[in-house]
Amino acid sequence: MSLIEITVIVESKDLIILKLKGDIDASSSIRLDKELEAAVLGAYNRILIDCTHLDYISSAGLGVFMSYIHELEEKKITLILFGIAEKVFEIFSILGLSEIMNIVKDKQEALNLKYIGNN
Amino acid sequence: MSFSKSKILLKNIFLFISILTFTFINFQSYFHFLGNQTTIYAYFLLSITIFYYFKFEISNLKKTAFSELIWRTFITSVVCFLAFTFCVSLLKSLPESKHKIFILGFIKTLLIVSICIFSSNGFFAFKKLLLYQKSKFIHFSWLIFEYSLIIGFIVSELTIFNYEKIYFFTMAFSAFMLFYLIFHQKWVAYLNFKSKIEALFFTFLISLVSILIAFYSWKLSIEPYVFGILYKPFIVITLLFVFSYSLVAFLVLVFNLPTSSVFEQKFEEIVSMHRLSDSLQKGKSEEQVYEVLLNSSISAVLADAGWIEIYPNEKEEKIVTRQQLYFGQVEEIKQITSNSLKLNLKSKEVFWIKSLKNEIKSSYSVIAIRYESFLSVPLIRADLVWGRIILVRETRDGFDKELIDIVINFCNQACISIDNFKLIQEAVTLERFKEEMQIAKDVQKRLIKEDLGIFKGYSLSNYSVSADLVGGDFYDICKINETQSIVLIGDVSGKGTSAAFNMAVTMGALHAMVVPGVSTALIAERANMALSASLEKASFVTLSVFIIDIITKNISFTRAGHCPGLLFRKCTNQVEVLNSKGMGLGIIRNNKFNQHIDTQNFNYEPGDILLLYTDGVIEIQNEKGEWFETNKLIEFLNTYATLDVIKMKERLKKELEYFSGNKEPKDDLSFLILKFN
Repeated sequence: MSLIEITVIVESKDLIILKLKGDIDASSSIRLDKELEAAVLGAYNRILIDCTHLDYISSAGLGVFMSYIHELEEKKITLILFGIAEKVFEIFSILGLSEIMNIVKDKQEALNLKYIGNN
Repeated sequence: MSFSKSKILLKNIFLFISILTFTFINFQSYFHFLGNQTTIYAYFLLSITIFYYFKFEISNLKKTAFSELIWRTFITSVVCFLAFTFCVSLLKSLPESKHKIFILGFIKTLLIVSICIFSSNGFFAFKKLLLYQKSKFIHFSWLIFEYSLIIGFIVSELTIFNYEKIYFFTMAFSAFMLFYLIFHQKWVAYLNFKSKIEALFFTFLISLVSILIAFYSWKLSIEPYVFGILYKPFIVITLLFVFSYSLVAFLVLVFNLPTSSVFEQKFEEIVSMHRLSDSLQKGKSEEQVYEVLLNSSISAVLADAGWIEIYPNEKEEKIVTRQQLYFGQVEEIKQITSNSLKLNLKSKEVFWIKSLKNEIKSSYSVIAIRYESFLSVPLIRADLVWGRIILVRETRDGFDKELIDIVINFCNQACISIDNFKLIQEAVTLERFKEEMQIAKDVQKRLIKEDLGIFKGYSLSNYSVSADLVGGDFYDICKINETQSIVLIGDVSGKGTSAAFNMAVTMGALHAMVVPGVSTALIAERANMALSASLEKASFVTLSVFIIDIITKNISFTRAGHCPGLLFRKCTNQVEVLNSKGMGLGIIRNNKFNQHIDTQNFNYEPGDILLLYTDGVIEIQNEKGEWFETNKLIEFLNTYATLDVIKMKERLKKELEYFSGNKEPKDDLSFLILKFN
């Protein structure tokens, strides 16, 4: 049984959105990793993660995001998290991930980031 | 033991009495020292002792030794018959002499003895055969038969009661029972072909002997000098029983002969099945089970050759055992079946080909193999085909539905065997792992000490528990010099063994840097560098480093992704959250890391409390799924700051237990409490 529900929405040729629902713990992080890997291999310029319904993320889940930081930078892919709950954001921020990841308030802001985020 | 011994003793007593009686009768016939009535009683005693002698003699034999039983009965019958005919011929041509009466008496007694031996031996031998695999009803009928016979015997022999009607009735009744009983010939089915032929011969001769004895006895009984003792209904009934039972047995054997090979075949199957389940119970090795399976299958379905192959993984296949086939032949048959017949041997189907030659005549002009019928049954475990048994026969259409079912049965049984075997192996391996884990736990206990020692300037208490046997949380306090000590707390992402390994690496790296003059930022930076090389891609470590100077009462700290510590200020009764910029170790694996951390300083006063913890503490959940959260820790500090550190630790443990209810902690959790003097 997986605690996480991931919905993949391909918005356009260069934009994919992963909607996360539930908890990401050690076991469900494997699914997140799979979906994220597929998205990265899919050559989208931007990967948006909808965290509106994400209730919890464990260190294993953080590890998944972390493990892609280097690859994303190399491939010039922008990964943006939006709609993150305060409690979950806290977890990102304690670890320092919020400093190096793009975390914005909502989807609109995430879409706007296109012009400024891509370096 | 004592029971069978007493039986043997009884048997010998009967033998002794009968010999004694025999001698007595002979003297009596000559000397007449006692009346005629005595002779009759003596005959009665003689026949009854012979009867009982054989009852015990035969009951001592093994229950299923049918061939032996029939053989013995046959030999006894022949001996009796020879004695009988000898006596009869003597009777007819006895020369006149003064000892004639004595000799006549002797011959007569011998006649009776031989008839008694023949009939009682046959009677009890056939009783044994008749009652093999008896039902309750048959047993009951037999008892009625036997008792009515005995009653009739006593009535007729002793002439105590002159109730002829009772006597006639019991005899008629036992004769009637006899015709019901003689058709119970279950033992015949358990003989093999050879024994059946033997038994056929013997039963025929026994029935012949009995009819001859009966015939001559009847003829003799009308001779004036032999009084009618031979023509006793009791003897008639027993002789009739021996005759009719052996005759019916003969007929049953005749009609059973053609089907005896089928019975033997079925027996072979049962024996093979037993052998398979035996190898299961005795915990034989996997290879032995394969061998037993193949051999049993080959003999059960009369195959000429075969082999077993297993599929350790998707691509590999391995032939584990073969019979009557060279490796090359196996390969050849495999090639034919997979290439020209397109059989997918890894599917769950049972393949069954009547004639290989017919199927492939077009593509193979010359067929080196001589086998025609082909049968292949998959070995399935946990819904997965992990092997196959292949059997071939030289005759065409050699496997029918029945035989295939047998092989399928065998395979199922073997799969259970091998399943069991694997389970045991797995259990053994698991046990070894458990031991290893225990060792790992012991090692970890040495790294994460329960007793951290005593330090000047503050008192401390600590607590750590792992969700698994080993965990990724760590803490330690080391002295740098007389006035300074260093406090470390951290957490390796994930839990269990891999976390524990990374934790040990981290501890090693950190300890190496505890030298005078070191700064907290430098420790974090160096640790990041050391871990970047060894941590796997998705792992990271969080760390907080504090350097406490008890002279200046100053603390400097660096937070590298770890939960911020809490400082309780005694003077204000307020809790400060020691937050700062801080990146976890192993996230940025290059020299940009130091841009993401900083060092902060603060002064403390006596009575101030520093509470350090790992995320397991604040992420502990209650039944509603709510977290413990930092707020509760702050509340806790405000409430219990006056307690000493040991009591605070116990209090906090209780709080956490109370909060989580009966839920097991999902993550490792640890905390450290320092109270400054």
